[in-house]
Amino acid sequence: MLSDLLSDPVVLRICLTAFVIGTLAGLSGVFVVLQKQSLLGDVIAHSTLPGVCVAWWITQRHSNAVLTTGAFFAGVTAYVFLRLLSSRLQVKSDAALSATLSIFFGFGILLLSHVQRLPNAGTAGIESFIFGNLSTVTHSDLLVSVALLGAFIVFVTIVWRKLAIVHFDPHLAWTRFGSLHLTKIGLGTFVVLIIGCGLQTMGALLITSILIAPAVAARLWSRGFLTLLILSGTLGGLSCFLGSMWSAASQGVPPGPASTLVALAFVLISLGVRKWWESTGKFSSLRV
Amino acid sequence: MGHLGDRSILPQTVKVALSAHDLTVNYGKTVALDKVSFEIPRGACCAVVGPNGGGKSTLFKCALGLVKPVEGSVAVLGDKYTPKVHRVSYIPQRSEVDWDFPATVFDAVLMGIENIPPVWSSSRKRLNEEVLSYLDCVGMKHLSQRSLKNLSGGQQQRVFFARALAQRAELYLMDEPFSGVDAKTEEELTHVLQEICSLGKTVVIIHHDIHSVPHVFSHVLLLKETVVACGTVRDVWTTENLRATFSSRENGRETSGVNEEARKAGLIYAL
Repeated sequence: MLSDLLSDPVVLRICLTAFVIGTLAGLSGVFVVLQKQSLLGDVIAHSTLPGVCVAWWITQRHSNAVLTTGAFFAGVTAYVFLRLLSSRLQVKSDAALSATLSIFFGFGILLLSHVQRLPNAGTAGIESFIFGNLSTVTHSDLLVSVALLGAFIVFVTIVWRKLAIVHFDPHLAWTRFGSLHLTKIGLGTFVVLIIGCGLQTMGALLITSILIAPAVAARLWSRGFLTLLILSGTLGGLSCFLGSMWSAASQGVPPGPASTLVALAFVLISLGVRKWWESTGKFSSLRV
Repeated sequence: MGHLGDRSILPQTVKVALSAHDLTVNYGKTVALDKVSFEIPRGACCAVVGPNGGGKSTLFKCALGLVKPVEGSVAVLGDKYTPKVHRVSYIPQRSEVDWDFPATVFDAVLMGIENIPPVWSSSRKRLNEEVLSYLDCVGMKHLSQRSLKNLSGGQQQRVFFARALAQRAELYLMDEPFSGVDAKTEEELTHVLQEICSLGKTVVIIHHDIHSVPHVFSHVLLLKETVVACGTVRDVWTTENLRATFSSRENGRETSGVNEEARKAGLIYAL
């Protein structure tokens, strides 16, 4: 049955795209978790809604490229707004996250209700941004996500030591490398791009769990930063691959929830196996 | 014991390790430092002592360029501090770093080293031995593969010291390295500090344990928004100076005797 599914070129393309996006999410999720901003993905994904609505309003077209561009700009605006809140105005991290989310999402809902009242307002494209939709994945979507994965891997390979130091001890990063503004901006841009890229397949509602769950599961098995990155990326890719297969096989289960459930299964299995090994003495909790 | 690093390579013309001139820092309307001027000579092992809120941490942040002064200047190794250029190692308070970060003790010390050769190169083996020797200096060699989140407070501080050694700095700024560590750890780490100073390098430490100052340090800076006294322990470690540092001012005049904070610090018994 599995090979039947994958022999269909459309399903294969969909599953490959999901795998690439899952890998991206798993990799970037490591940084989101280390910054203790687990809700960041949630906030940015929801904050893209006004951008999507405005893009649709202006062009009146269901083009993925147009909607993604709108989503990206709104996401970047939300990210910058969030950083300003927490760094310049010293708003606490959780308060800044929830303020950004409610302001942008609220504004998005306002726009959405307006857009839906327009003539020829088929809002299917907009709905797929919320719950995720794999049937619209095109060849160019696959290429774009592969290019993004390549670029992100190159970025992380070059600066992983700096990123490790800045996350462990910002003061050490300052004395050794200076302010690292460019590196931080680069990482932020990648996170927003990755969320924007994952939105239309996985949906704004659940993309955050696909960022977080692989990193959490991988953390249970990795002692070092590089191991964590590699393991988290792999688990993220596997979750979305299996989730989209499930979605394709069942015809009705949306890919976002399916992938989320697979990723959560990885977390639960990891926790269970670890506890069991610790109780039998095969595994010392001091090691990881 | 492992190898502590090499002798100071700073040019002999640099005589002052840390100095400030009329340094004034405000946080909003609160004055943190008020016209602070002092000089700590090179090779000193100096304690910065003062009440909470006396501006000790602010002084360090200012020296590293993390806080901008309203007025005056602070110089590090004879110059305004520039990251990457000046060989300064800063050890923050233990609570300021993320001990949940996925890294081993070995990885944490490696973070202090510049120019790490790739794993497959032959010089990497030498580097690994160097890192282990720093860990040996602080008695942590046997725990090099332990993950950071499973360390005790004292062990965390030892890791910080090993990382500082790996940085091979000329000036070490440490924010309360001995708070919450046991006596044995403090004694061993103090020994490491004195070894560092004997190599011609400078150590400046924010310190709370007033008893140990005369035994451990060569110099002392008494700070309470402004400099109460700065110099060798023999010259400035006097009852009057300590009383001036820890007494509180109310309504513009000095309250009689020693205040609660100084009493808690055991000042009365120490003198």
